[in-house]
Amino acid sequence: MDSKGKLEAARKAFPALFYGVPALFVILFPLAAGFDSNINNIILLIEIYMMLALGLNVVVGFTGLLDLGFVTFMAVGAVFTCLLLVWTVDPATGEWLFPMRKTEIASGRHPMVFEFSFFLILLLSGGACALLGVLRGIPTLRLSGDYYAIVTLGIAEIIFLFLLNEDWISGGAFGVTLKMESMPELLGSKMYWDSPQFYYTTLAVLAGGVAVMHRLQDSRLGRAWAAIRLDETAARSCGVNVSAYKLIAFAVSGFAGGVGGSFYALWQGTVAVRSLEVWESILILCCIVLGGMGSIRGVLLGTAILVFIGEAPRYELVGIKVPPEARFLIYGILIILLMRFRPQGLIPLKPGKAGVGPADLARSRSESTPLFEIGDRT
Amino acid sequence: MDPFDQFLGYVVNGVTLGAIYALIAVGYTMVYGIIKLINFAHGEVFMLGTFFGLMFVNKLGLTLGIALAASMAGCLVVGILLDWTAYLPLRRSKLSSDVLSTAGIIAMGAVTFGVFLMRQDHALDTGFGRFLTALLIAVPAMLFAAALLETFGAFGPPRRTFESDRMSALITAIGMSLTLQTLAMLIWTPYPYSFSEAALPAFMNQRVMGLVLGKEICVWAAAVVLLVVLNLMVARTRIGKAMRACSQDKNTAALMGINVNRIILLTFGIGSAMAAVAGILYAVKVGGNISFRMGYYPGVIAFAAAVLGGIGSLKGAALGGLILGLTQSVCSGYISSEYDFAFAFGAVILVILVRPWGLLGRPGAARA
Repeated sequence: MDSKGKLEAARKAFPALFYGVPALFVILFPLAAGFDSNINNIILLIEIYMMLALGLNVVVGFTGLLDLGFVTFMAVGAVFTCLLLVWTVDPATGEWLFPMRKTEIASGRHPMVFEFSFFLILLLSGGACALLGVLRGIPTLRLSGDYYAIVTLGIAEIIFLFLLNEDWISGGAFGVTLKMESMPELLGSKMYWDSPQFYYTTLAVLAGGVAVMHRLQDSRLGRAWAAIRLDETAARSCGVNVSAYKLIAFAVSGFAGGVGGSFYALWQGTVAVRSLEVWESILILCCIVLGGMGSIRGVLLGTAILVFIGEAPRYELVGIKVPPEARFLIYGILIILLMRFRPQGLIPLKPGKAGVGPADLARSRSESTPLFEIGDRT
Repeated sequence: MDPFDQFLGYVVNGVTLGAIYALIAVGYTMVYGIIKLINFAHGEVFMLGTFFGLMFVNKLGLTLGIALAASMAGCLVVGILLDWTAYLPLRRSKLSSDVLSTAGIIAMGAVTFGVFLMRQDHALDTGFGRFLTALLIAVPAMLFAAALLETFGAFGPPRRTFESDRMSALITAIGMSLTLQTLAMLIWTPYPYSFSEAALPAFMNQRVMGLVLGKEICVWAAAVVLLVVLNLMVARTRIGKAMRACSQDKNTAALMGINVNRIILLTFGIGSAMAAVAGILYAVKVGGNISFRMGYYPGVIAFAAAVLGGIGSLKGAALGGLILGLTQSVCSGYISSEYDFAFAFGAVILVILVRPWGLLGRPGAARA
C-alpha cells in the first residue's frame, strides 16, 4: 500500500478508533476498578459535560450564534429534576408539598403520589428546557452577533437571580439535597452516582446523543443551520426559513441542556443554584472552542480535555490550599492562545461537510484581503 | 422618613451609581466604536483599578488623590497590555510580538501562582519570595515596554495583517476576562476587602443638605469633570480626530497616515484609565465587598449603558449610565432589592430588542 493509500485508510479508520477505544475503556474500566472510584466520578462528569457541550454546539457551532446563557438550561433542568423528585401532593388537602418531604413519605406520613420513572424525568426536564429555549428564542430571532450574546447573557442572569431568590422553588442558597430515598429507581436499584445503573445510563444517553447529533448535522436541518451560519441573508434568499430553523436549533439545544442538567442533579446529589452561575456557560463554551466549533468529535475531545484538567488536580489543589477556581487561569490563557494560533480548534469542522467552520472561513479569507480591522462584514 | 425624602434618597444613590457606570461605559463605547469588539475584560480592568487604589490607600497610605492618579496610570498600562497581548495579534501577525506576549501571559500566570503558593507558607519574606513578588511587577512592566517599543516600530514591520472574525475576538475577550479575574483572585485571595474609611477626608461622610453625602458630591464632580475632559479631547485634539477617523473608516484613516493600531492601543489605555477612576469611586461609595468578582456586573451593565445611549457615542454612554443607575436604584428600592441587577438587565434586553441603535444613535448605524 502506498503512503497515500495508508493515509486514506487511517482517515477511514479514524471515527471507529475515535469512538471505539474510549468507549471500550469507559465500559470496562469500572468493572475492574469499581463504580465508586475517583476516576469513575470524573468520567461521569466528563460525560455529563459532553451532553451539555453537544447541546450548546447546536447553537454556537451549527447555527453560528454566540450563546452566553446556556447554563440557564443546565440550572433549570437540574432544578426541575429536583422538583419532580422531591415534590409531591398531599392527598388530604391537595397542596403541593415542599421541600424534601420524601423522608416523611418514606416514614409513612404521606402516601406516595407521584413516582416518575427516570426516563420520564429526562424527557420532562428536556422538554421544559426546549420550551424555555423557544420562548427565549422568539424575541431574539432578529439578533445576531454581539447583541445576541448580550441578550442571552442578560436573560441567563435574570433567570439565575430568580432561581437564587425564590427559594420555594430551588431551596435558595443552600439548594436542594436529594436524599437516597428520593432518587429514581432503575432495574431495582437507586440511581445514585456510584451505581452501575446510573453509570451505564449516562453512557447510553450520551452515545444516543452523539449519534443524533451526527445525523442532525448531515440532515436537511444541519445544512440549513450551516447556511444560516455562513450567511443569513443568502440563506433567507435561497428559501431557508431562517426563523423556523433557528427556533428548532434553540429547542434542540435546550433539550440537550435540560437532559444534561438532570444528570448533573443526580450526579451531584445537591443542586445549589449558586454553583450554576453564568461562568459555567463560559466553561462549556471553552470546551467547544477548544475542540472546534461545529465539529462533534472536536467538541467531545475538547470537553474531555478541559473537564479532565479541571477535575483531576482538584484534590491536589485543595491539598495545597489553592481554591479550585484557579483552574480558570489555565482555561483563560488556553482560550487566548487558541484564538490566536488555532481558531478553528483541535479537530476543525471539515470543509464540504455541512459547510466550513466560521473561524476557518475568516482565516482563509484573510490571506488575500489585508485589512486593519477585526472584521466588520457590513 | 417621609416618602419624598425616601424617593430623593434613591435618586441620589441612582445618580451616583449612574456616574460610575458612565465612566465604565465610556471605555466600552470607545473601543466598540473603533474595532467593533465588546471588550469583556473591561469590567476586570475596573476591578483591577479598584484593587490598585485599595493597595495604594490601605497598604501604602497614600492620599486619595494620589492613589487615584497612580491607579489611573496603572490601568492605562493594563489597558495597553490588554490590547497588545490579546487583541492586536488577532489583527496582524508579527513573530516577535507573538512570542513575547505569549511568553509574557504564561509567565504572568506562573509567577502569580508561585506568589500564591509562597503566601500559603508565609514565605514571602524569604529571598525567593521577594524575587517572585518582584517578578510579578517586572513581567507586566517588561511586557509594557515591549508593547511600547513594538508600537513605535522597533521590531520591524508585521508579516501580515488580516481580518479575524468577530467571534474569535469576542471569545478572546472572554478568555482575557477569565484570566484577569483568576490572577486577581490568586494575588488578592478570594475574600472580599473593604476600603479604609480612615483614608477618606472628613467631609466625605458629612451630610450636605440633609440627604447627600460629601462623597457622593465628589463622585458626581469627578465623573462630570472627566467626561467633559474626555469629550473635549475627542472633539478638539489631534488624537481625538484620529480616533473619530478610525471609527468611521479604518482603511481610509490608514491611507491618511494615521497609525491605526497605535490609536487603538491608546483608546484601550484611555478607556481603562476611566475604568480605574470608576473603580476608586465605587470603592469610595460602597466601601466594602471589593473582590475579584466585582467587575462582572458593573461591566456588563456599563456595556448595556453604552448600547442604551447609542454605541460609539460618548454622550450616549454618559446618558445610558445615568438611566441604568437610576433604574437600578429606584426599582430595587421600590420593588425588590434582591433583583437589583435583574432590573438593569431587563432594561438592557428591552433596549436591544426595541431600539438597538440606542437613544442618541441613528438607525442603521453601528449595529452589531
